[in-house]
Amino acid sequence: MVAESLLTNEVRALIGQATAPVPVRLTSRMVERTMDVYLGGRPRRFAPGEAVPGFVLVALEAEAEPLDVPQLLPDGLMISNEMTFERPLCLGEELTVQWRVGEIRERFGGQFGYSVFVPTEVLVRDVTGAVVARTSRTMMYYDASDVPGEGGER
Amino acid sequence: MTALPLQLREGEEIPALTVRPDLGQVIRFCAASWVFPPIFYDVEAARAQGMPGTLIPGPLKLGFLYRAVEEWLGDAGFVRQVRAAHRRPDVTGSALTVRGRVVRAYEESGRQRADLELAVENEAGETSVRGYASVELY
Repeated sequence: MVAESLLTNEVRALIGQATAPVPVRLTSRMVERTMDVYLGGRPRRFAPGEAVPGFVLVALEAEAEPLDVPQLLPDGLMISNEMTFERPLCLGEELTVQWRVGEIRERFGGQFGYSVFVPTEVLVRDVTGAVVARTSRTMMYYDASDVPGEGGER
Repeated sequence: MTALPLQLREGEEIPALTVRPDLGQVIRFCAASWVFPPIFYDVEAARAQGMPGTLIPGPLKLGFLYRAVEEWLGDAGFVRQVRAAHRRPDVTGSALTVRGRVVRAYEESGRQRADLELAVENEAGETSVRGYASVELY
């Protein structure tokens, strides 16, 4: 049972840290693969410049370089996630993706015992540098040997 | 695609979307996102974590929320945001039903917008995901 904070200065220093933006082009292959994941079957084709389904963010965020955030506790659940769009993304767009750490928090004595919450996000910017989309998720880390687990997704 | 909504009306329910993600679909998701926790595809690893089987990834379920809203919206607008709060794990191969309804319709910055409450129900009728979406008409 953890009785003291595991949020060391080293861990706290990660809050707000971001990796360098990675250039990425929104390709037909990304769109077709994610449409296959979410819709199944033969995906429809899009013309260059045409708006594409937002779940292509799954493929875009995979291009971002993540930071190495230490896993302080052995078990993890994804408790929430979201996708946000300022406008639809379009086929062929030149974009950048950047991975960032949010406010790391901890909780003592909750349903899962001591737990650490690590929010991260991936920012998608267009060629002007404007954020056009973002995806974020919060992971909760805990020790299942302290509290038999139930709850969200890994 | 469904017929385009002429108006965003509070209380309007979106058509339910039922999916049954199998292991192949989950593995394709892992490949597309380049994320490979064994609990998504290795049943022994999942059981070692106390789960009855491999799990449907949370981001895949978020995408189903997105899909349900987008299919309802058609070409009339776009999904500005979709959020998911994960309450229960869902096992690969089980049926999930996305339900939703408009809880607020309003105009902002000259645009017609609406907020929706969403939920993913499992086969037992339990809510495994609580969701939210915001849409904007063109």
